[in-house]
Amino acid sequence: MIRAGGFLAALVLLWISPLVLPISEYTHHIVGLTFMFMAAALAWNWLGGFVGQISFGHAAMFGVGGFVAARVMLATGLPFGLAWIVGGLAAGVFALLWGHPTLRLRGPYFSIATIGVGEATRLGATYWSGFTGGSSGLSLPLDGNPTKYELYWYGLYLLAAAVAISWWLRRSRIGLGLLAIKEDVEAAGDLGVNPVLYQDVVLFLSGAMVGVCGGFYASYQAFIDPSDMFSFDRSISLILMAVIGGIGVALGPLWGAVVFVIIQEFLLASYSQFYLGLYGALLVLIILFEPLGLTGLAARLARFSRVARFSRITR
Amino acid sequence: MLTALLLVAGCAPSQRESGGSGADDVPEKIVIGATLPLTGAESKSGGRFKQGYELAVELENADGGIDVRGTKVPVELKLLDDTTDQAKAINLAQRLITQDGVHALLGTYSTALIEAQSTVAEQNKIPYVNGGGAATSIYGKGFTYVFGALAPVRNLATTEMEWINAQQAAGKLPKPAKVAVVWENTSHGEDFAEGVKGFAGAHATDYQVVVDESFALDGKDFSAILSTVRSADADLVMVDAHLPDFITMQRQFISSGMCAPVITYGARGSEADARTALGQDGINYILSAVWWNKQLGNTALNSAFIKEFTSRHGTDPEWYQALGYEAARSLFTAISTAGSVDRTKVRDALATLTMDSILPGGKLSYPAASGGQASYPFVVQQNLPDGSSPIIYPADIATGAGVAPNPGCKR
Repeated sequence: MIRAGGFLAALVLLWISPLVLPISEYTHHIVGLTFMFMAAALAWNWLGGFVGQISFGHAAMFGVGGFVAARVMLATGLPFGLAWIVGGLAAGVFALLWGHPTLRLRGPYFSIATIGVGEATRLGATYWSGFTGGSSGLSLPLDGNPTKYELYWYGLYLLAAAVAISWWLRRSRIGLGLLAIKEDVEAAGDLGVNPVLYQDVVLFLSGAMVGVCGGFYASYQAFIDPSDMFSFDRSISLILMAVIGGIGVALGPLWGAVVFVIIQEFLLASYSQFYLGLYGALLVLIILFEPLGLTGLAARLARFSRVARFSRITR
Repeated sequence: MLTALLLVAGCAPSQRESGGSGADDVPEKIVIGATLPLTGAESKSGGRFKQGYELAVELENADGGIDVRGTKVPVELKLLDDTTDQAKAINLAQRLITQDGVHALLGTYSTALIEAQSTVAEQNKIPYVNGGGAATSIYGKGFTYVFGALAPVRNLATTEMEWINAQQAAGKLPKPAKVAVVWENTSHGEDFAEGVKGFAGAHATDYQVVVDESFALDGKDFSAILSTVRSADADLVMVDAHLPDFITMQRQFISSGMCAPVITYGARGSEADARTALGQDGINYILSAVWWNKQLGNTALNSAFIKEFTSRHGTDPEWYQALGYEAARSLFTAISTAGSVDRTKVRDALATLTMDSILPGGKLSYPAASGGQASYPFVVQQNLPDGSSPIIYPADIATGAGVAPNPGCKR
C-alpha cells in the first residue's frame, strides 16, 4: 500500500513538474524520451530478468510496433494513442510467432536465436520498402501527431503502465511461476507450472509493450527508418539499461535507462561515436563488481550505512 | 490496462506559446546550426560539405558578416557530427534548435539523412537549407521551411539517357539496348530509377529494361545483383549509388571480370577518393552527371570560389563543396534580404530568392512549385584514361568528346 502510494505520488510529481519548474525545452523533450526508454527496458526485463531468457532481438518488436503504428496513422488517420496500441499488438503477435518455437531453447541457445531473428527482421524491413520506406524511411504527418512537449506526458503514462505491469508480474501467480521457470524449467513443470503458456504470455506482454514504445518513438521522431528501429544497437541498449539498473529486479531497469540517456546525451554532441564504447566498459565493470547493477549497489550502500549506524549506537 | 491508461488518461497540457521576443532585433551574431556525416559511411562527402560551409562562413565574416538592415553581423557556424545516422541527425538538429538556440539550419548530407532531419526543421518552423538532398520526396511533403539546392535526381537520369540516346542514334550502341537499372532503395534511388525507366518507356523500341533491382545503403556484398546484371548481358548498366556503395560495387564489378559498354553510378564517378580507391583503370569511362562543374555558372563567381577554395585546401573543389557553399550563401542572402533573423521572414525571403550563383544556369532559386527544390541543368562528365573528366553533354558546353562503347570491353 505504501509502495502504491509512493508510486502515485511520484507520478503526480512528474506530471506537474514541467508546469511549475523552469525546465528547458530540450530537457523536457529528453525526459519524455527517457520515460519511453524506461518502459521499454522494464518490458525487456520481464523476459530477460524474470524468466532469464536474454533476448538480443527486441529491436524487432520495437521496429514492428513503430512501423505498424506509423502505417496505421498514415493509412487510417487513427489517433496516435490507438495506433501505438495497434503497433504494440502487432509486435506482441510477431514476438509470439518467433518466440513460441524458440523459447524451448534455454540460455545461450535462445540468445543466439534472438540475434538471428533481430537481424533477419532488420534485413527484411530494409528491403520491404513498400511498407518501411526502405533505407529512406518513413515520415509521419506533422498534423495530428503530438508535439514533443505533449509527448512528455504520454511517455509518463507509458512508464506508469510498464511499472504497474512489472509489479503485477512480480507479485502474481504468473510471477512466481516465472521465477520457478527461471530456476529450473523441468522442475517448474513438475510443480504444475505450464512453462510454454507462462513464457508465451510474458513474451507477448514484453513484445507488445516494446512495440508500443516503438510507436511512441515514431511519433517522437516524426520519422523512422529500418536501420535505426531494428538496429542491433537498440537491442543491446535495452539489455544495457537492464544490466546497469539491475537485471531481474522489478524496477531496476528504470535507473539503467536514466544512466543510459544521460551518458548518451552527454556524449551525443561532441563524441557521438564513443558512447557505445563507454556502455561496453560500464557493462564489464558492472558484471565484474556488481551483477545486480545500480539496484545492487544501492542495497549494498544501504546495508553498509545500517551497519555503520548500528556500530555507532553500540559503541 | 495499457489501453485504458493511454485512452482514459490520454491527455497532455499544450505547449505554451514561445514569445519569440527579440527575433526582429539585430543580433550581435548570427548562429547557424548544421550537422554533417563527419564519421561513418558518408564521412568523405560530409567532410567536403564541411569545407563548403566553412568557406562560405569565412568569406562572409571576412566581409564583416551578414548585412542586417545596414549592420554587419558576424556569423557563427555550430557544426556537429551526425555520424551518418538518421536518428542522430534528428536528435542533434533538435538539440541545435532547442538547446543552442540557432537562428537557422544548414542541412546534413545525403538524401536519407535529410529526409529524416528536414522533419525536425518543419516541426520547429526554422529555415532549413540543404545542398545534399536531391530526392523529390523531401520537397513533396508540403513543408514550408525546407529548401534544397540540389536539382532533382530524376533530371540527372534523364540527362544521362539523352547523351546515351545520341550515341545510340550515331550507331555506337545497339538498338534496342538492354538496360540494367540498379538503385539504392532510398527515395534518391527511386527517382533515378524512375528517370531511367521513364526515358526507356518513352523510347520503347530503343531500350529494353532487363534488370530492375534495388539494394540497401552501405552494402558490403553486391555479388547477387552483379550476377543478375551479368546474366542479363546488359548494354547499359545504370546504377544510382552514394560514394561508399559506388566504390564497393565498382570494385566487385571489376574483380568479377565484368565490363559494360556504358556504365554510370549516377552522380558518382569523378571523385578523387574513387580514383585513389580503385585506380585510374578502375574508373575509366564511367559516366556521371553532376550538379556543378567549375566551368559552369556565373564565371566571375566561379573563379572567386575556386580561387578561395584552392588557396585554402590546395585542391580543386568538387560539386559537394560547391553545393555546401551555395546552400550557405543563399541562407546568408535570405537573412540579409529579410533584414532579420525572424524565422518566418527568413523563410519568406528564401521562398522568393533569386540570386547569382556558381551553379549551372548562373542563378539559384527555390521555387514553391517544386516544394522549395532548386532546378537547373545537369552536366554529363566521363572519366577518361588520361585522368581528365571533361563535360561531354550538353553539346553546347562540352569540353571534350565522350566515348561509347567502352573500348576496354570485349563483347
